[in-house]
Amino acid sequence: MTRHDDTLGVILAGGSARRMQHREKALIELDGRPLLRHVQDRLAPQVSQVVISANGDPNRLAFSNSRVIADLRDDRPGPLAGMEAVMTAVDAPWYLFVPTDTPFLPRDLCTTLHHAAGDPATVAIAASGIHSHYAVGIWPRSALTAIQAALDAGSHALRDLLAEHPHRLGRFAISSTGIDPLFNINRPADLARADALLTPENRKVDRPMATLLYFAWIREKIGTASEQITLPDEVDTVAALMGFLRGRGDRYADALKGEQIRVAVNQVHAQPDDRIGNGDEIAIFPPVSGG
Amino acid sequence: MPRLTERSLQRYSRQILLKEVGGSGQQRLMDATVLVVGVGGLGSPAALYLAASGVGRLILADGDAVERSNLGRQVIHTTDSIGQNKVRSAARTIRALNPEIEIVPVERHVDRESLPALVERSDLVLDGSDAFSVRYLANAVCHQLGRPYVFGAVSGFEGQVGVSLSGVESGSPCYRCLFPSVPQPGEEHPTCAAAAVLGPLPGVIGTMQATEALKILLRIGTPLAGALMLFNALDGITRRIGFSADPGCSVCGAPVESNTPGGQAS
Repeated sequence: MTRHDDTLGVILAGGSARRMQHREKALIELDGRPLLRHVQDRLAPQVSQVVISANGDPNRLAFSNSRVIADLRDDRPGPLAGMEAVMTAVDAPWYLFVPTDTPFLPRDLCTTLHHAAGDPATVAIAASGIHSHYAVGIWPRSALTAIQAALDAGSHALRDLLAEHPHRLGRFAISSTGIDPLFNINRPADLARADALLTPENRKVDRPMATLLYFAWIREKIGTASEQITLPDEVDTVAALMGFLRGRGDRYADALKGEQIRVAVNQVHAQPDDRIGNGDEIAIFPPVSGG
Repeated sequence: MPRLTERSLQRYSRQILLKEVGGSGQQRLMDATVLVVGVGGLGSPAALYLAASGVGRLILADGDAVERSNLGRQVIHTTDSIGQNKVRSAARTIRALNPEIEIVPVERHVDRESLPALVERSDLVLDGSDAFSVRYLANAVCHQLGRPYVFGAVSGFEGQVGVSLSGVESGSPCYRCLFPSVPQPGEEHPTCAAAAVLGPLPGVIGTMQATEALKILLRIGTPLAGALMLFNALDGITRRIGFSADPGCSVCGAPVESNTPGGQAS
């Protein structure tokens, strides 16, 4: 996962949550933590920093340790006012807006949207399956004028602005088990479903996995020819993987020392800064001399 | 070089029937010379199969004598040949198998001084040695003299096999492109140094080396150039690892200019 230092992460937490019986969505607990925390944990590693767009008493969101920015206009409900307020208060080249009710945000959300934004870069909105998720998108700073114009004209719906404003779609796959990473919680039943999706078995599906193959003395010292591992967020290159493996214990450290060891990703010899990701097969082998 | 006789055609008939080989391919093998470095674990099956397949001339180089502990895997030697130089022992087995081919015996280990002349006389070098130093030397000499180099190695239950065509095809990688740093004695894993290996393993790898050699001589198929084959017999795992030429390779990389701007010495 890449951190995009040119992008400010913004959690839009101003919704009125009519369908959640007026309980503030940001504070609804899932797996023992407020929903906003789930979103923040997923968002923070991808962006320069996270701020929250919300109105009312900011202290109720103090647990986030993030700056809370209130709307500039009190007569325009909806995310546009929040977006305007943040873009006015904080100057950044890009803003990644997400709602507070999407606890399974993809770890590559920011990167995928930036790729989708293209050249010359436009707004990029997230899509999954047949749906576009208007509240999940990256916006360049230059879009502030369009947002202000829409608000001045009396509009407050993102959908209406996007009908006029050029944008591209960044697509996210629904997992093979039917989990939509942009799944959002609108009704109590959704909350129950999200809770079910967080069981350890389902958690594994959501995490990037890699298959490791060990050869020759590396296999002997580690004690297995192959294993599947979950890739921690920061393990996204060959070098990071080797460091991670060495840190797993003495057997690994002993097996993987020395500069003779070669690594192949998906059967192609790889360099230390080559990227690795979900589903990759990584072979680790030394030169052998017996004859 | 001998022409194919009636008896040769019988001998090699199964191979000649392959459309990729045919009579012309068989003649090409008959006209070829292969240097086999080391007639131990890898060289034994390699030399046997090259001889059986009708490579016209085999230069066999090995300075060791046959020991009893070799016979668990070096199937070209016999109990009778214990104490005999390995090349002499191998030549006897080969002659019994196929008297039609010529054997050039070199009853010494190759070294920096002797190897170039041997490579010069060969169309291809098959490395059956058991030392990194020989591998790196042979890889370099083959590159310099423009010969295909077929390498292999075994340890325990595993093997590696590949081909360097760096001296033959521009842009093709060599052994050193993949393994640039030469392991020093003592840096090798204990199993390698103790040469523990399951009997058939060198048979598998050495025979694969012979297969690669035949492919190259016949100019058929896709040699394992830029493709290291990893074989884990214990767990039944094979992988073909692709790798490319390293422009900075000390053997086959771009030549370094000795008078670079700024006066840097190469």
